[in-house]
Amino acid sequence: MAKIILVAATKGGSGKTTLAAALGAHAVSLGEKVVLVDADPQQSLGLWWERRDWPTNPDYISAVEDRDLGRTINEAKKRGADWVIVDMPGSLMRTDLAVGEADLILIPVRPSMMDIEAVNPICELADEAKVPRVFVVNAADKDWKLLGSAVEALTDLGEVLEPSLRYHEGHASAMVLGQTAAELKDASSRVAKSEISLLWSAIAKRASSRKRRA
Amino acid sequence: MGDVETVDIKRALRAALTSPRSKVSRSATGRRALEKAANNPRKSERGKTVQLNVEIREDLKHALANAAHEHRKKIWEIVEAGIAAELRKLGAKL
Repeated sequence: MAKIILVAATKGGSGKTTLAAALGAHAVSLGEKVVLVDADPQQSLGLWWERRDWPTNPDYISAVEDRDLGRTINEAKKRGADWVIVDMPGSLMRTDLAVGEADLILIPVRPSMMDIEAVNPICELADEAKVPRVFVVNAADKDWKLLGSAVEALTDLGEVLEPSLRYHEGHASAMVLGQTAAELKDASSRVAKSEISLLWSAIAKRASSRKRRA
Repeated sequence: MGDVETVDIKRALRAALTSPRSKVSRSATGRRALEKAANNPRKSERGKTVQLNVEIREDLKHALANAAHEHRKKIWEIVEAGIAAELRKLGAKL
């Protein structure tokens, strides 16, 4: 049965699309069938997928014009997906439409005051729908004193997955090529690959443990 | 480590709890309301409204537009307030 992951945050620039692409590509490298659902009017994930030469895995569905996101997610499931990864726009009302379908809500958060004070609405929405939610600290510099303070503040609000994703130019560069940082050939991409791999293990474990109602 | 001072995000979050703005933007209900308002910029929260088609002096119209711009008010806010004030003076119950 397909597992549905919503990558959601009401704060723009938190790294939702880059993370959705990185996780999707990583899952594919493990032999999983992945369908990416792009619910963001910006369609950045779709443009990345086109630069990747329109692969069948990860497959892609644009949901930007679809008012019924649940229906789109069901269509993704029918394509034989093991995983459906939904890239949400920074809109709570749009996230409302998809939350009931989710097995896990992944909330990327940069270690900044503005990102952290924006997480509450998504957390409330997830809790109302009784859908598990986890934070991923994104674009974190391990040398920042701010990082510890950010993780401490987030831990009060919910589970923070390990590892944090470091600020790495490869994430941005890879997008240009329709790739992910983990797929680049340079030496530093090994760090990105290791982080995404560990993160995916943590995400897959949590999403798979969710018992859905019939 | 850089030379930037250590900051306490938790303390800053607690301090922001007293802000009315934070109460709205940091709750799901408040956030939905803000998004709804932002997505319907022409929709009024004043209930049912009607158009009033009257001729007014040109200099008043210019003054109205200037005041609205200067005080960042909507034209209807000034017009409604003016009409309500005059009607109350005349004994109308609003």
